[in-house]
Amino acid sequence: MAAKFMSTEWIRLVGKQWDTHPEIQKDLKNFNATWEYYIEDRPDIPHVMLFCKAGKVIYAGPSDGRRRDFIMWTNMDHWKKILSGEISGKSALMTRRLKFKGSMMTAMKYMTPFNIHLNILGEIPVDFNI
Amino acid sequence: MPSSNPAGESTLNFTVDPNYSGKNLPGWFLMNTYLQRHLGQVMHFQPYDGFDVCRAAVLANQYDLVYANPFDWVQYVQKLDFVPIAKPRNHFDEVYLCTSAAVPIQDVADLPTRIRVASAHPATLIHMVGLFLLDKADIDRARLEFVFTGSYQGVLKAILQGQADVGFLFDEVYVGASGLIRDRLHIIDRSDDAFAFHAFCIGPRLLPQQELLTQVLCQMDQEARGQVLLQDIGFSGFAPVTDDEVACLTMLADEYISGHEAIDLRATSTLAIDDSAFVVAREDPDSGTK
Repeated sequence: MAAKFMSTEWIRLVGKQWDTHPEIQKDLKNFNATWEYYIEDRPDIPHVMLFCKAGKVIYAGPSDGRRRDFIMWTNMDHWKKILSGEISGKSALMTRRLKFKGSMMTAMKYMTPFNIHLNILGEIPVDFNI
Repeated sequence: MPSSNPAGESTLNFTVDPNYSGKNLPGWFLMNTYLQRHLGQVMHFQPYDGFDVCRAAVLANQYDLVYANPFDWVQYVQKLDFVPIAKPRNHFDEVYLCTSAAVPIQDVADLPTRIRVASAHPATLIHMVGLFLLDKADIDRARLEFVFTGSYQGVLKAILQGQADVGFLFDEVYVGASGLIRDRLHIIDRSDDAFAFHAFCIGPRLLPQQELLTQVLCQMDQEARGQVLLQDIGFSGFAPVTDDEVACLTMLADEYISGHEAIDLRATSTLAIDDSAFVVAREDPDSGTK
């Protein structure tokens, strides 16, 4: 059964899926950061977050109040397009269909893993009926 | 300042990023003529050899139209209320890490302990992305000694004359160089970000003609004369710049120019890196990610 989008179950699956992508772990071997996701037009849905340390996801779960290095959000329609691959990560960022708060330089430096990371989000079977 | 000719007609002033002062410069003079004809206004084209002198002239309000590199056009937008209207179609600024083919450096790993790096100017996207490439190759920045040349032609010269071990070269300069020059260079890495771009920017005096000029530039590929000119200056066509692209690149340039470099989050992360804390924080440590 597909996990509900933006649920704790979904973000944990994202964290596990991350482990199956050695390329992103290699690209992010010097990267430690937290980032949060949320749905702009669904304020009732709690935010979720990932913590990456040296390329590995070491926390995947609800946003727990700690400071985030990056925040990514957009409306449900755009999330669906990003997760389906209809909009690439770079295009989503450049056209601001994926809203982004944090270091744009870091995003650009790590653009390849950034794109892989969005692909990983899209690899999880997801239920958008939330 | 904008000038007038003896007949009292106002003359528009046009310049381009200094990296175009090399091989395809005649094409830019013809571009000036082409735009002049389509706008029905006298235009004067003035190229520059160096980034600083070009940027200073534009910031001194001497120009109405500039084809500028991304970090410069962001400044012109912020300081002079310029508007970026058109960018190369399907074409972005990329960086080649080049060495001389005459030296035995085939890979980033072959670079010497102290690395002399030729770069046109520190306040350019090309310099920033060049640093990113070296970071990704785990080259400690403490190993770098920069040779700032003021132009990409200077970067070429520094590499070929042995004044630098490696150079940050704008891809268009490499592609536009003669076969003889390219044969003397070796590319050890290149960016593939497809993120930032040069753009035509207009100043306040040209704002009333923004729509016309955007249309002229973006439809050049639809007429024979325009196609020839595009070939001369090395593009397939131009496309409009969106407000979102301007906002995105402004964020990037502001962050870089202001010196806030979040290059390595090991040093800049606001989070304490203590493993034990994360075991507690993890929602489900047994089945969670490792």
